[in-house]
Amino acid sequence: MTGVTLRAIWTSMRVQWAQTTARAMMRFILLVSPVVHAALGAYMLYGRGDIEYAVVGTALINLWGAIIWSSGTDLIRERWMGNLEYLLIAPVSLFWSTLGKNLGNLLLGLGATLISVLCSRFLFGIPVAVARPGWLALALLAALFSFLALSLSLGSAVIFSRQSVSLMNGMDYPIYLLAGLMFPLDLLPAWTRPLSAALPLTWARQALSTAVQGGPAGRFWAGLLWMVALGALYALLARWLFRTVERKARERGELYA
Amino acid sequence: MSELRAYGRLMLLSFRALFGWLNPVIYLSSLVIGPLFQILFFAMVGRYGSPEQSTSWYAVGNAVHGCALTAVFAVGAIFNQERSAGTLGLVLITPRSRMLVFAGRALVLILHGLVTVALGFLLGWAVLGLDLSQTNWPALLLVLLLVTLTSGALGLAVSAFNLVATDVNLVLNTLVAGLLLLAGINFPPEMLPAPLRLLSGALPMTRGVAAARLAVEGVGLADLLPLIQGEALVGLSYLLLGYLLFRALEQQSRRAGTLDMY
Repeated sequence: MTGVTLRAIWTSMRVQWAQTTARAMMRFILLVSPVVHAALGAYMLYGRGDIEYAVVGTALINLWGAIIWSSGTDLIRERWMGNLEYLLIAPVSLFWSTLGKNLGNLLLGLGATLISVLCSRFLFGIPVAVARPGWLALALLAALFSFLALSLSLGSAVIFSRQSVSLMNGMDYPIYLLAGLMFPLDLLPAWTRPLSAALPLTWARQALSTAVQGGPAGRFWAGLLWMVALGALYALLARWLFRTVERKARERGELYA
Repeated sequence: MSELRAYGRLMLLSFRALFGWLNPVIYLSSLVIGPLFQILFFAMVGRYGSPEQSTSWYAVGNAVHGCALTAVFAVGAIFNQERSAGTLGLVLITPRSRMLVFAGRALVLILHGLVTVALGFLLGWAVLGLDLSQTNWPALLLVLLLVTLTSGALGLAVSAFNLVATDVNLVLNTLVAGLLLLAGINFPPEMLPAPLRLLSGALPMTRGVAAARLAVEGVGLADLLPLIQGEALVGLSYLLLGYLLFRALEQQSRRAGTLDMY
């Protein structure tokens, strides 16, 4: 990765911040949604006395929501603005400029996550204390990496089809359900386990909640390693998808199938 | 007759264009799969959080909330879509009643909300064990129709602001999420603090969801009447508010010549 690439990622990230915060939908996701989900977690789950689902799960819903709602449609917006062709022929590949955008979304998503946790703590009185700060930092880094990789894979899909944007609209609750973000996965049928295991959110919830509440080291490290492994897998997939998209776009002379 | 057919075609096409779906897969993912998975998700959360509460309670609540996406959000976004297409000015200078044009488009969306609710009940019955054996069907159908209409009235009231505001998406999304939180969909409104309980009572759906749950338990229409009347009153209030806002804001945008210039 050269200095030019790094500068392109940084610039792309800054432009993304400016554009994202100006969009009404993202203002909802960054400011309103965290309060709503924190409230749902508090009213529906706090009676159980654990914070894995009431706080960590709802925080992850906000982090993932902020990432996917923007990353899934960023390239479509570039197309609407007439920029996609320019991004494709720029000296820095589309993959890196999209990475910058998704990094921007990720950092904004962290803001939404923080709002969610603060609401749980101060608005709804759930005592949130971190048992293992070091583990929490590690788990958060691994979660950000794996979410970034997954969002890049999903984001590249929109170039394959105009209708992928609409598909993204129906993807939030299935993912929250399969990752068991607000309830134990035992409640789901056994055949859904492989699908849950393929989602970094499942492992992020496990590792983050173990770091926050304290718990067996094995549970934490398993979650962490799964996130890193899945992140690497999705990163490779995203790289391949972007290369394929770029090659096909040049071969066909068009950006959509 | 040909005018009526053209009008019907216009409603159908604008409905399809509103969600950007031109094939069944996209339609299913946007308007069916999302709401259905919402039911499954919150039913599981409820099963874990409050095991003493039946899963049916959550299934009915979220099935009814399923109409919000079309009845509140899509109705509220109609004028925004016209502006994006560059046709808002043309709609407003049409010699026909703008409210009629608007109502025609909104009605299709509101009725679609009813389809989403029906699918939600079907899912609840097939997957979550929703017991419909005692259901008072006429009462339930009346309540569901009423809730979709009152939700549409809320969407109408908000949609008027499209005439003077750039983007009401933030408000619409907040309303859909607010209904999820405040209307007794996933926990009883009595758990809310007093000011939010007051707000809950002023929202459509709050009484409708309660009435739908009772109708599923087989409660008779006479006993549901207070809830039904309350829901209807809330809906009529939003309808009147929407009409007055639409008239006032349309006149304001015409007088100031700022329809697309704010």
